[in-house]
This record gives sequence, C-alpha cells and structure tokens, in this order.
Amino acid sequence: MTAKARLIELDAYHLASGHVHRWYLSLGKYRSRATDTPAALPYLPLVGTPAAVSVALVALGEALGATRVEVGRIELSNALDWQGERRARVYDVTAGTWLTVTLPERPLNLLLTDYALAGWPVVDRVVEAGAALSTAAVVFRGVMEMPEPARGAITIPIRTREADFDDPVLRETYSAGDGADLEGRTKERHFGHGYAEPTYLGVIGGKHTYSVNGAHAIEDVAVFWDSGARLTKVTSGTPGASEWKVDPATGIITLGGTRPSAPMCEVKGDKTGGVWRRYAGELAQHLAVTHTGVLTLAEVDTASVATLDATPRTMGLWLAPGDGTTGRQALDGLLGSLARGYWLMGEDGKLSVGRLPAAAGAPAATYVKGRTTPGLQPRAAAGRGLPAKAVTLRFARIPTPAATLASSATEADAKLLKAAWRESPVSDPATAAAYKGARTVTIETALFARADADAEAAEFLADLKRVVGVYDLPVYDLAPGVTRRSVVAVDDDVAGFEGGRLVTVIGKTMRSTRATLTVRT
Amino acid sequence: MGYGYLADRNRVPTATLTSSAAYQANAPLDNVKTLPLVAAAVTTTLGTAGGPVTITGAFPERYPCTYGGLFDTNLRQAARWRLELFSSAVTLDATTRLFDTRGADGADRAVIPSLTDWRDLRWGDPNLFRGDLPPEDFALYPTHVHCIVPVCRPAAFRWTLYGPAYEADNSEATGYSIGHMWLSDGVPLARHMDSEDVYTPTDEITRFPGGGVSVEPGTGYRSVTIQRAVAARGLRDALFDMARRVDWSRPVVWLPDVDSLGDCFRYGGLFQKREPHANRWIAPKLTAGAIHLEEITV
Repeated sequence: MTAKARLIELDAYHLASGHVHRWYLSLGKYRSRATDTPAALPYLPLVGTPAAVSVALVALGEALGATRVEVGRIELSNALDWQGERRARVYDVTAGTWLTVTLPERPLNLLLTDYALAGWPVVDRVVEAGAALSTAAVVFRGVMEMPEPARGAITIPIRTREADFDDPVLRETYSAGDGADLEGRTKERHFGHGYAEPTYLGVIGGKHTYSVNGAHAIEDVAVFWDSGARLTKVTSGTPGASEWKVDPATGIITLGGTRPSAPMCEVKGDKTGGVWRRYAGELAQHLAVTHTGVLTLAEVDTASVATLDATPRTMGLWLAPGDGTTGRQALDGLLGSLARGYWLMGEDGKLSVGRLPAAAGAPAATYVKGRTTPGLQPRAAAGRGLPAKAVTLRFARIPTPAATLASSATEADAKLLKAAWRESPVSDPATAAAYKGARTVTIETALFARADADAEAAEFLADLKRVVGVYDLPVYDLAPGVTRRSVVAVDDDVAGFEGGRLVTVIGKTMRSTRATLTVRT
Repeated sequence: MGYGYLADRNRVPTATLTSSAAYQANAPLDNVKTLPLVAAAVTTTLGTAGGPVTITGAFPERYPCTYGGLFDTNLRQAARWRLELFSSAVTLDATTRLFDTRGADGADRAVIPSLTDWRDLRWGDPNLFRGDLPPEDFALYPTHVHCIVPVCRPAAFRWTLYGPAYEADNSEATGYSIGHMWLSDGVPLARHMDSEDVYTPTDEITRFPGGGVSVEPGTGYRSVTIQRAVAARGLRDALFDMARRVDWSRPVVWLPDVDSLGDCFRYGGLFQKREPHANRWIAPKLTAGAIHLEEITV
C-alpha cells in the first residue's frame, strides 16, 4: 500500500481571454507518467482539504425520484511562495493548447483576480502515488460556487451538478403584444401526452385563439372540450361554430364559435426537432439537453435512457403560463412517477436515469465490520419504516376540474373532467394481515395511460410492501468504484447481515479520506 | 567519519540553464530551479556513456560554492553522473575547469557507489557484486545526488548524466526526472550528543469497535535534530545568519557525513527548519544550540 494523492482538476473562465482554463492541483505528491496523457504533468500540491460532499438519490428508504444535494467546500492553500517564479501548466480547454502560467507570490491569487469560478466544473479524483493517471478513480464531479478568499487559503464551495437544474423550465415570456394579462409571464409548455388547460391568447383574425405550447411545434391536440362538451375538430378550411382547428407547427388552436367558458384539451405535446417525446427517459433527456441546454448530449448516459424507455411509460408534463417549476422538480416528478425511478449526475459526469436496482448480483465491494467498516448505523426511513399494504397511484391529472358541465357532455367525459386525478389502487392482503399498522400510500404521478399506471402501481406496491432498512455505512476508504445505485455486500452482526447481505447504495458522503455510504436493503 | 554539512542560499535559480536533451512540455528544464519537487524537469530520452544528458548553467555573478546537488531524481543507483565547475561562462573546457568529479582514471561517479565492506555481503544478495544498496532499500528513499566541492567561485557548471532510470512503480523510465538542482556554499559542522534522525509516517489509524484496525497510508517524512553542545563564534554566527535567511519556509540541504554517501542517502536531503533558533550561552564566546529540520517531500 502506498500513499494516495487527491487530484483536483478545476475549470475556470479566464476573464481576459474568454477561454476556459483547466488547473491541475493535488493533495499529496503526484506527477503523471511519461506514457500518460497529459505526459509528465505535475499537479501543484496546493489543496489543503478536499471537499466533503454528500449526495443521495432518493427520499430515504423510498424510491421517489428526488435527488438530494448538499454543498461541500474545498480548501486550497494560497501560502506565500518564498521562491517565486513557480510555474503552473494550465490547459486551455477552449483553444486546446497548453499554457505555462508564472504564479504570483501567493500562487492562487490568479484564481481570484483573473478567473471566474462560479458555475464551472471541478473533478476530484484519487490515485495511488506513482500510478498511471488512467488508474485514478473519480471521487466526485461538482460545480464551484463563489470562492471565499482568506489570507493564505482559498475556500471554494462545491456542489454537485444536480443543482444546475434549479432554474425554471419555462424560459420564454409573453411580450406586450400578447395582452396585458399575459405580458411578462412565461409561456406555457406541454411535454409528452396529457391534459392541459389552453392559454387564451385573445381574438386573432376574428377567432378566439388558444395556445398549448408557447408557439412551439406539437404532435397534435386530440380533443378540445368546452365544459365537458367535445367541440368538432377540423383539419382544413376555416372552423365554423363549435369547430376548432390546431396548427401543429405552433400549437395554436383556433375556434370557430363563441369563447368557451371552461376549455380543456388532451395534448400530444412538444415536438421540438420533429420528435414527439413522451416516455420518461426521453423526456428527461429533452428537458436537460434540448429544452434547457443545461447539458450537452455527450453529458447524457443515453444507454440508461434507452434502457429505461425499453419499458415505455407515457407521461405528460403541463406547465401553465407563469409556472415556476424548476428542472429539478420536473425531473423529480417524471422519474418519481416510476417505481424506484431515479435521476442523477453520475461519477462519469453524465445524467443517468433508471430504476434503482434490487440488491442482487455481484457486489461492487464487500465491507466487513471490524475490518473495513465500524458497522452499520440504522437511520430513520421515510414513513417510519412501515411497509405499505395498499398503494393508490394517481395519474392523468386534469389541471382544472370542471365546476359545471354542459348538458351535451358524454358520461365518460363528465367523469373524466370532474375529477382532478385518475386512480389505480392496488393492495396486498398479506401485508395488511401481518402489519396492523401498515400504511396506505398515495402517489401522484405524471403517467397518462391507465395500463401504464396499473403496471406501475403494482411495481410500487412490490417495492413499498417490503420491510426496508436504511443504514449509514461508514467505510475506511473513499469507496472508489462504489456509486449511488451500486450493490455492495455488508457483513455485520446486525440481524440479517451475519455472513453478508447485499444492499443497494442510495447515498454517499465523501470526507477527506473516507466515505459514508447510505445503503438500503 | 567526516563532518556534517548544512547549506542554504541555492544559487541555481539565478543561473541560465541549457541542456543537450529535450524536455517534456509539461516538465521543462527550468522546473529544477523551483519547488515543489513534483514540478520536475523530465527529459524525453535517457543518456548513454557516449551521448550523455548534460545540463549547463551560467551564473550572472561568481559565487563561492562548496556543494552541488540534484534532488528527487529517478536515477537508478548504477547510473552515472558528473559535475564540472568552470571559471568562465563562455569557454567550458579544460583550461577553465575548476573542478571535475572524474578522478585520474576518468571514471564517473555512480549514484550509489560501492558502500559495503565485501566481507559483509552474503552469497545471493542482489548487491553482491556491486556492493551498493540492496534495490529494496534504495527504493525506500528519495534519490538525491550530493557532491562536496572544494571551495571555488564558478561562473558556470555542467551536470552530466547517463545510465538507467526508474518509474515510480520501478519499471524502466524513458527519461530523467530532476526535482530540484542546487549549487551553493554551506557550513560544515559535526553533531553532538542527543542529535536525532527521525522518521515519521503520516499513516492514519482507525480503530474499530471489536478490535479491528485500519491504516490509511500517508507520506512519511524524515526529520533531523542537530545538537551542538558547544559552538565557537564563527559557527555560532554563521548558523544564526542562516536562521535569519531561511526562516521556516526556505529549503536547506543537510548531509550528516560528507564522507559516507550511504549516510547522506539515508539521513540527508532537502529540509526546512521547524523550530526557533537559540544560542544558549555556556561560557564567554561559547554557545550551545539545536537545529530542527523537517524533510520536504513534495
């Protein structure tokens, strides 16, 4: 065993040139080898304390899609350099060239004066001293916040990239020409397949006009109701009384007759780039890449998207004008609609979506109490750890249920529009008999079709009726190779863990030399 | 048994360096002037006896020198080196040569020469025929090259290297790596009673309930305490001046015994002071004191 070095590579925006420069810093002595790329690169030993960062994947114990992030801080040494003339090799990412930067007496003052750090990525890796650079294992990838300078040290808060999604999904706003009640509000969008209350744009060309997707292309509008009465869809010509027409290129609906008192639509939504995305994985990718531009396509684990959508689940996401839903909430909502669904920014720097795997298969690591861990520490799980005897899955939400219905509404339409949610209940008598206090769980989802909802309800119940233990597992190293959603084996004297038991990792906290895993049975 | 040796005021950072070899872009030649050691000069090729790697430096001013050193290199112990000092920065030949490590037979010095009495060697030892350090012991320490020079005022110097070099994992390297280069004057002094050579591992120990222990390896470092039970005025003042110059931040070179390369290899190297410098008066004109040094490992 040899000492390990922590390698910190931080990208910083050089204010003068507008280029992104990559700085190579370390805790401990490390220089890449002549056969590595980059070759013979010294990592300046200026890191005082690496960041303690905590990431967790799900509401503890229950797979509900949400990703929890906490901010850590990284401390860099900026002690006076007695000799001066110290040089750093810096990679210009924008131009693809290497630069030699002569450092000032306080070597990292440049980062404070010449660079913008906030929002730029940082990678923390661990490597055995003297080993090849390719053997370095990623501890975490994060994003820097505003640095906090102190004499002799710089502290940089670090967060993980999930927080990049904290901006609202709706970006475009209505202008003054769209009327006083819409001016300045964000434009509505509809993703996937679901119900939407169209936005009234006013009378345009003598016709009452509605919009469902902020003037962006959609697949189609299937039905238009007025107080539960279906209006007649026409595809050509000018709509007459009780008729309507939709322009799929803009998502604009033109009515022929009078203004409806309670309009409601079934929308096959956003078709940016000519693709109607309606399944959970592709919708998440669309929100992250093509819609918000937070990520590039290379930063998405497209294989995980394909795997998730191999079992297609149609979803709808309706965001009314002025809706402040953030990307993170939207992704939480989409992936939380699937049993054990999650999304995260992985150690490879890519957005990954999927379903948390069951604790089965070959473990990524084995931890033994007294040897590699001081032992499991139970922590409170959601819902007091009680199993669920029944799950009611809600789906296909009507944004505004109808208060009054037209007499011409069919019975099916009246039922649909009166209730905000469709429901798919499932129950498990065996759990109800065994656990008198078992819970009944209601889950609101973005699912649209009843077949999908019934299948997911069964999946949710299968997961929630299990007795799930959630534990903290402190380990002696940084657990390289163990990520959220890995399966590890734990050998402890807690009941059920004697002789080893497989658990799924749902959270990881990194401190300077060791990690704490949060695991779920 | 020779005297110990303490040097500060490295003159190499003022010199203009040139080399016969090409260097890695990320590890240029001028890196030998600066710390940290990890920012080293790394050549792209190895030298041979016929075509060695030379590094030539020209000083802007002629300083008195008694010591030359290379720190944190990757030379194997059988690799050869040569240091020449010249009185002219322009003409570097036999007419201006002040000092040459080559003896009358023209042989170059090995990084670790034969150290051991052949009678101590056992049959089958890996160092049986060369008598240098066993390779396992050699790998425990950073590879420094030390050279004590009769006092002179060079205007230029030339290091010559050839032979094999190692990578961190003990595989064969394709270039030489030199962390720091030194040429300066220094102070000879002997250690007195209670002097110490200390090795401190920085391993992190965790004890688990139930008796388990995990040890996370760290980077160990050496430290030295040089006790002087008595020092006369010349040495007293020289050491006090040095304490003012180096503070706790600048490096010093410590050699425990200039006549024993084995001792210098194990206990000598590049250090920083870590304690205040005190002259304790024991008699008129005589003082006692101690110097505490800690190794620079990065």
